[in-house]
Amino acid sequence: MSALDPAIHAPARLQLCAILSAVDEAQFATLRDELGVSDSVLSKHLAALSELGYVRLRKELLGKHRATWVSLTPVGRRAFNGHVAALRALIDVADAAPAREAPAAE
Amino acid sequence: MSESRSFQPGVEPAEARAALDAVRAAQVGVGRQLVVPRGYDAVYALSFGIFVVGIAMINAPHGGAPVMVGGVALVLAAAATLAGLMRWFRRANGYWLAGTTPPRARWVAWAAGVEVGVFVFLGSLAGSDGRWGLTALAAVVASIGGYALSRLWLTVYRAEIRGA
Repeated sequence: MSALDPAIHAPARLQLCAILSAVDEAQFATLRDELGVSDSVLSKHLAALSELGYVRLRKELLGKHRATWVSLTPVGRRAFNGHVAALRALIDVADAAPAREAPAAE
Repeated sequence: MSESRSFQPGVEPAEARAALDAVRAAQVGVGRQLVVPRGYDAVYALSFGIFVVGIAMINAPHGGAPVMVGGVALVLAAAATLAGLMRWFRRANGYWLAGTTPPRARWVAWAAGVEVGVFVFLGSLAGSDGRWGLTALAAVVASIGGYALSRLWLTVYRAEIRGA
């Protein structure tokens, strides 16, 4: 059974990884708007995930301004999928527990 | 590394359910928000046809340098068109989808590649015999197929991330 990953367990990071799992790359500004956080908060999340090798950041000149594009690395994708699998397993165990623990009818 | 990679916190089932719901909502939200710019599929499909004709011209044995140069120009035009489409999509959405990420949608992307390959082969075969009408037909059919596969890809992608 996969273990929950503390690096992506926080709601904002989970949402961030969920968005990145659905695309190949996402622009920093788009992620910021989707998550409803400030530039600095998103930067902190990305720095933490980047340090673990979960995300890759790439700068690109888009028109007259520089844009940052973010993508999940294969390691990050595996970690996210493992985390989601662990969440599902946790729910499955919880759903199965009442049936096992139900007292015998008198 | 500042954070441990494996832990099993006391996560309640309700919290796990909420987390999974948030994951699904985020993924479905991406699919729902995607905007395919007007004319994107048509231009994408056109690039298939240009590519088929360009390769056929490059492979034509009797055309000489002008046909060869024309073919190279068409292939470069098709490549530039695809690069332009990529920028167009990225600017419109703030996302980029190369077509290869979700497993089922990936098959549609592969099908598009195979489709181009088949019609490049047929178009070149016809062009090598000087039957340029058939090359043009191969280009048109490749474009129609490209259009259909482009539309299909988005449909499969959205369905796939809805069910993720």
